[in-house]
Amino acid sequence: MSDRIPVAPLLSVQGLEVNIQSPKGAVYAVRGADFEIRRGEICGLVGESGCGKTITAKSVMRLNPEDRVVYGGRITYEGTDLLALPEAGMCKVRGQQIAMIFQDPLSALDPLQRVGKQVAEVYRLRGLGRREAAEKAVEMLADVGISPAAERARAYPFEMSGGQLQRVMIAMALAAGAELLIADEPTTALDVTVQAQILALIRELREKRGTSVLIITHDFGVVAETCDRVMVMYAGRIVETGTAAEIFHAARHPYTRDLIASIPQKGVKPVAIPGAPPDLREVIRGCAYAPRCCRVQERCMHETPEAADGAACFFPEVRP
Amino acid sequence: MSALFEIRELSKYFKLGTRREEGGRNPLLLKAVDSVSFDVLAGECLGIVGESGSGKSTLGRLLLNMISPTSGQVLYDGQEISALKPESAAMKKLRGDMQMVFQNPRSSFNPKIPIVRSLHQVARLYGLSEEAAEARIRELFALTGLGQDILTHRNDELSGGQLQRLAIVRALIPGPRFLMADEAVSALDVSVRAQILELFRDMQQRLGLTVFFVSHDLSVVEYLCDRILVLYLGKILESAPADELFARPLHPYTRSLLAARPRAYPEEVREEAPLAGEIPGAVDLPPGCRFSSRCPEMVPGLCDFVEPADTEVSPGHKVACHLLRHCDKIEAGGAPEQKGCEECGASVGKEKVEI
Amino acid sequence: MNRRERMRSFFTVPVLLSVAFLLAVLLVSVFAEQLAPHDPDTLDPASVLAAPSAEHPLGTDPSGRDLLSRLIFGARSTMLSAFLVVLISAAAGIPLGMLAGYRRGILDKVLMRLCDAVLSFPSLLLAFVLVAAFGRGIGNVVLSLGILYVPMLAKLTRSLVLVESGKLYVEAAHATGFGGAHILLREILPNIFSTLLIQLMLDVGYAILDLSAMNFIGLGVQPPTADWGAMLQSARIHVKNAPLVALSPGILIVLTVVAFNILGDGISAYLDPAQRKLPSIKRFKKALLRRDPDADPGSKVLPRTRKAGEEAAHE
Repeated sequence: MSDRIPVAPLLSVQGLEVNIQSPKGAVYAVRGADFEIRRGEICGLVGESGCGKTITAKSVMRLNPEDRVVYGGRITYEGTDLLALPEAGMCKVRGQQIAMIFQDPLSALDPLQRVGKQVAEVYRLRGLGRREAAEKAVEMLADVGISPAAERARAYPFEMSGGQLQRVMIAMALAAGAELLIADEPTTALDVTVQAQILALIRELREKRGTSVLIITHDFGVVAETCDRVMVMYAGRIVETGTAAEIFHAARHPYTRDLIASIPQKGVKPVAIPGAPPDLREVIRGCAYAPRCCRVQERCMHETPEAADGAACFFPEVRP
Repeated sequence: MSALFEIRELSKYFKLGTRREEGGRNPLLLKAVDSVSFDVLAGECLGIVGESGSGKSTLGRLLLNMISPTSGQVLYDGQEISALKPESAAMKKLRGDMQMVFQNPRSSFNPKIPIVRSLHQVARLYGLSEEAAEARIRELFALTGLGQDILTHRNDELSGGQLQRLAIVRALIPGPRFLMADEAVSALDVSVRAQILELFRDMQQRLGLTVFFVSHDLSVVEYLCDRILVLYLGKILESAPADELFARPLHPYTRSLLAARPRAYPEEVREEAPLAGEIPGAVDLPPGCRFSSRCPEMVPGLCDFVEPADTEVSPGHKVACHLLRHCDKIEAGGAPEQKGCEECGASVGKEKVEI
Repeated sequence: MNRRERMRSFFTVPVLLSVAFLLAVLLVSVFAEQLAPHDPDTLDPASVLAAPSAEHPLGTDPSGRDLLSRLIFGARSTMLSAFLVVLISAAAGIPLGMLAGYRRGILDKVLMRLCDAVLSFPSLLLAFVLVAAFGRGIGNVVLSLGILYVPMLAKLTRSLVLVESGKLYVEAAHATGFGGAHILLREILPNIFSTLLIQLMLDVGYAILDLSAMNFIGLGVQPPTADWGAMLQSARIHVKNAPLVALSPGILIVLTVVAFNILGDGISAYLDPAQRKLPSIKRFKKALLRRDPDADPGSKVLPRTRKAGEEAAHE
């Protein structure tokens, strides 16, 4: 991506820390994450469950329960520090600038309202008249591949399949005019054939509208399918960043390499990573991956590596 | 290899209610499994793939006789177990032979009972004394790579991977011959998934287990299984040895499933467009081939009228599709074209339309 | 959160007060003979409705009996009968509900329609009918109320069992080869026990109320037995000239019922982590700042730690 003109990123996250109070103790869920999303880019945030990827995304939207969460660091969206924004200002950002879709779209929609009306509601918020909003909603539903749109707009959420509901969610995000779409495991609950359709739709959005997308997933297949750039997260930190090709073929951080090696693939025996990810309630000394790492050395146990040239590792794989 | 399970014309319909039609009230049936026949060979790992709603979990439970079939038979070792009541004493005796591992290891253990205790309860159920149970659990821990110290932890302190190993230990305590895994690695993280897959393969080889592996993930099945059945709306559309199925997928549905798999690498090129639409409900099945409503190669007048019969294209490779019925190339044992045999398929279609 | 912290979050002021009050009532009713200054049934026509004095700490009732002693013995009668009511309903309702929920089918349908039939009448009205059939007396009142409490408990148990039966661990137990009795008693029961316990706790409160009502009407305990409900009845005409006599049993009834309710809520909050109270965000922040700075990778930026929405100038 060297031919890209350097422009200010759409979203930039610096030293993000998230501490959450839970009945089971304080969880230090995000431990200094740095990353950025450029305009018109599809970014993947990959990691295993409990690595803090969903909490990072929710922090960008400020959707974590505010009376239980303490933030550190900075989240800048087009020059505004979102963490310093009062709730009223945040409401304007949510939806209109950044929208989020979830793994389970059924529970994110109002079960008692027709989907067309829910999309139209978004247009109404933007000041459109009732009839105009309804027409726009049907158009938008057609745009995200729901057909026949006029008829399906009259359906209730429970009458639609998972894939269609995810399309409705995307339609709502687009109706609000969001420039950044955060998709948290958007296809995990869907079948492979439907997953392929939704990912194709997300790619199409970027091409047609220039929407930036942050896809949060544990599935490297989804990343390979859609993402330009990938961030790998482990124990609350971004351990490696790179283009999709770099991550798949020339990863530098041992964790990324091990993760890719552990995916069952045609003709290749998957290699399991020993051990389990650390508990984020606990204090971690040194590199969080050190106990499972095959390249671990004395230094890794005491010091925390800072990101350098894409990988936060003292002894990264040398790129050929 | 001899057959451990023989499944004959097995069907399971769930009654959803009744519907008024001309000529009286008809039951509204969900045909979860519809007249399915196959064998599970002793010592093999048989994979079942399908989308959600294809009936694969129901099929698994029918095999273990946890639910009674609407019609058809399940023969285990020649004995018709589907005739026994799921709760009957005779069936309970057989349960030790056939055990199950579930998708979500955390919820498959009772949250209020320490895991040590539930493992001991299983051992006692199968007549092991206190010391024998202790020894058996220790032996299985060593076999599955679990440390003894795990038993001092509370259930909620264990990770998904550890719990799935414990679930496998629980299933192995009675010394089963047959293990059914229902999406057993789907809820696990990538790094842990490989460990558990490894363990399944290892257990299967070391203990000579027969494994029935239900999954929606083709990569997992490809890695683990010897033979694969592709299920769609309660019917087997294609069954073949794993290598054969992935090298030479013949049914349009199998091909679409393979095409819909996310790329392994960003620059991999797609051969086929992903399948449109979604799996319809199993209530109002279309006439003819079940897949005809989504099939990119559907022949009007044939596929949506006549249900295709199984064709054995090569030993062990069966396909239920009209398009392959009269294909000379396949009958001659040759490799079919990637796009299926359009010429023959079309000719068959025309014939039928003319009639 | 460790066990000690959990205990601390359980014992909030209202729960502590309730526990203390209920313990006191319980102890008093057990040691009524030792604690009461007088025999509760001895009539003293010379001092009717006497004001509180050294001899009679709370005064006397319309028949000249010592009020404090009667309240103490009344506690015994009230608590004992309330517990018996709940015991009877639990002994019948829980097993029936469990069977109906697990077996389903025709048994479930018949039992639940029976419960619906009972529940469709006002419960006190049905209690009158039952007492009319069995005859007066506290024993029959306890039995009738016990029977009337069965449907609610059975329905609750059934719905809890239905929810649990759908869970994976029950299917796993079934697949492992366990039979229905094991699954019901050793797998499902431990998981619904706490909810049932809370319900029983609340039921004790309701039973005290209903028993008092029955005794107030005179269907239950017969004179001269001391009982809060009956005392309320015999003293109510004197509420103007001797308010203590008329009001004290009423106040005790209310306090006991409220205490059982608070305790029930407390237990359910203790068992359900989501309901537990967490320390305030300010205390949480302070705790974070005290954290070992060498320990965590990002903690050197912790002084910037802040709550969302605060002005950046605060840093």
